[in-house]
Amino acid sequence: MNILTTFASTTEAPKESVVAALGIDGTLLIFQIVAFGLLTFALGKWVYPVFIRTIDKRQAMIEESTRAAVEAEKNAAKTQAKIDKLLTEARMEAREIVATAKDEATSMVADAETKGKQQAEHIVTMARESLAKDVIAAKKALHNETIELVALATQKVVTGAMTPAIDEKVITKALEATK
Amino acid sequence: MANRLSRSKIASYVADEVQHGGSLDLALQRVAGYLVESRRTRELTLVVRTIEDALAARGIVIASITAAQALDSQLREAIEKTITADTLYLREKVDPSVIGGVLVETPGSKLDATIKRKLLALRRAKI
Repeated sequence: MNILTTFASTTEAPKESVVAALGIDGTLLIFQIVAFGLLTFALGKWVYPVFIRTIDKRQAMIEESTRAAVEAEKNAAKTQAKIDKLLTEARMEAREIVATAKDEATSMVADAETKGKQQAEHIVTMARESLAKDVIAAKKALHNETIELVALATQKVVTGAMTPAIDEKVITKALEATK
Repeated sequence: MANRLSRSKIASYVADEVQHGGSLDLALQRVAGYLVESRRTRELTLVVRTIEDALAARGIVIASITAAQALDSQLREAIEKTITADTLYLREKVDPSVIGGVLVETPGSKLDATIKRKLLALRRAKI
């Protein structure tokens, strides 16, 4: 509205100054410059330092965080390396353990086989000895039984066949043997 | 209570009696009476054996003959010839369990030629 008024007045009075012709109020301008300066000063004195401090703090924090992140990354890398090393060591140890376990298992199997063979041989030997004893006992029993049978048969036959004549011969022969 | 006499003294008494022509039966009756009186009847077998030994020492032999069948005179003579004695008494016994042969027992010796002993010897061969 003011601009329109100013423009209208300019067209109506072409002899005024350029500033006036442009519609600029000098007093207002000065007042505005002073106000701007005061505002700038006030902002520079009280507001900006707060913002700058905050921004600096934030920047410091960000830098700190960045450093921490870098540090953490480095630590992570180191940790990763340690983990890798530990894993490698663990794998090697595991391989050794597995190898040792395999060796021990093989040794145990071999021992078990040896013991088993020895036990089997012992059992076979015992069985043979037992069998031999049984055979000897059976032979003895057979021998004794045969003798008993022979004695019984002889007794029966001789008892049945013994006549006075035969008895006399037996006695005569026995008496002759004593001479 | 009668004095306790040893078996050898009793045997010597009987042997002396027999040797000097005394009666064997009488002597034995006295010995039997003594054994009963002195309560030594359990020693009878031992006393008899001791008497036989004492008699044998004096040449009087009492031989026990066991056979399955009764012996004839021929066999008896043959047996008597095998026994050395001044006077020989035979005590014969028939025992069918001996099956055959003869068992002659004299004080201090024994001839067992019975079939029973041979069978026993065979059975003793058992392991």
